[in-house]
Amino acid sequence: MKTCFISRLGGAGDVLHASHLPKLIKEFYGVDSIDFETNYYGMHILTGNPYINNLIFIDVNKMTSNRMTKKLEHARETYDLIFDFSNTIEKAYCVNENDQKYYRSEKWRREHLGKISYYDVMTKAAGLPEFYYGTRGRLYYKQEEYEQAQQWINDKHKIYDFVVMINLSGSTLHKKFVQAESVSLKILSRYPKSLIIITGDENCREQVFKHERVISYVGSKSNGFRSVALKCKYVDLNISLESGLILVAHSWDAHALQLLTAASWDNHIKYAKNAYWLQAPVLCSPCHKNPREYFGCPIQANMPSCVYFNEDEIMKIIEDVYDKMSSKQNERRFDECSQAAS
Amino acid sequence: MSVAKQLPEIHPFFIYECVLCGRLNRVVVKGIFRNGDKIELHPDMGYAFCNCKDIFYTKPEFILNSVSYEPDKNGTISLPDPFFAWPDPYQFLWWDVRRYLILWDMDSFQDHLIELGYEVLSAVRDFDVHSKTPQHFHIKVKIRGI
Repeated sequence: MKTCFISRLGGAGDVLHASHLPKLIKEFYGVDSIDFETNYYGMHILTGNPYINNLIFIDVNKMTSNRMTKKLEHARETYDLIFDFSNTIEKAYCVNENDQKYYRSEKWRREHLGKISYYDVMTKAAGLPEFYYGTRGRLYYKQEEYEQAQQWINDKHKIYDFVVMINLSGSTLHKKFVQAESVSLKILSRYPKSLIIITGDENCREQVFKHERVISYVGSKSNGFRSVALKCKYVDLNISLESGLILVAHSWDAHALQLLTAASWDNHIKYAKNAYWLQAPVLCSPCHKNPREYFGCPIQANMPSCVYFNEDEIMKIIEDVYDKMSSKQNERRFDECSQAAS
Repeated sequence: MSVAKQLPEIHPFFIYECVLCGRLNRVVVKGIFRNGDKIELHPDMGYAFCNCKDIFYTKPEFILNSVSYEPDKNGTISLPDPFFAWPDPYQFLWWDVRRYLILWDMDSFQDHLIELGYEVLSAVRDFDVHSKTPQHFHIKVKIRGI
């Protein structure tokens, strides 16, 4: 029996971009059994993945570099094949301040870091051939979970004709949707039967706003990442900056408007269907950086300027999605009426 | 999993105005000076980074003996290359606030020379272990059209 050990720690998006690999590794390398070590965010993504035989949770708060290197050393001795996917996307394709690539010209970074999908980055990191490029990852749920989510959206659609999920923030400042409230209020005002669902972790609580047609899942335990990640498949539109959740929405091919700051269309959206996007209207976007200190970034109101988008452009896209959705709903209703009449 | 609500306030003393675009950026590295054989850090002078043209820059008033940013009569120019500065910026020995107003990225400097009317013939980083100009890039240009 050929065994394989994979280690991939990181944010939800990082792990999502590796979630197609267990299947491909089994297929290409003829592996029979995969042990996959991941962190808290990775558990949300990989739970239920049928190609992983043993999903191992690692608490990174108690992780030491010794534990990490020794585990890999041990894995090399005990498995037939191992993959350490640390820093495959982060640092290599989204550079931070202790790397010379952070200080290179944008032209250079866009040329070298901006023209590849992060799924393909991971496929390449696994040593898989190019014919696998374009393969995407996904989350897996039980049948009853899909049914519950479908029922959930059906219930919402009995009252609302436009359900929009807005994620307030990803892991860093340039992933924070500072215009979430303003955009939401515009949606609510333009579409009187719309519903906004806002999501995010506990750190987003200060961004939460109240309205009779706004539901907040921010910091909710009953609507944690995994639950929201399934619901985003069924809503009429997802809106977010560069968060793991919007990447999950792309993986479902759900209607999703992504507001790109550091990443490019190729990096995040290339293979997604039903995706809309806006690149931040600052000259330096996409920068392919993952800053912590934001050295050199234009700053506006103590935030990197790239998080501010033209709200009229956002609304134009929302209008487009709404119109498409309405015409589909009308067609569906017309068909139902025709069937009933006949 | 957001990690910060907003950027921290920086003391104005550590904010420098970009010498090319005028934007305010914070100091990234301290300047260095030689004390005999020892390399020491200026506590109060350094370089900020601006992504307008990917430059590290210091304050013009710190400069005492400026390097030339013009190609010489043979069309060559050598400057310290911040490519060599990371991940450990103080292994890079050219954060000299008395001499270099700007430390250019090699690609951006080529674009700058092209804007000035030069044609770039070659641009190389200096990896020669016996080099008299370690951690530099060397660019050769000619005036466009000549």
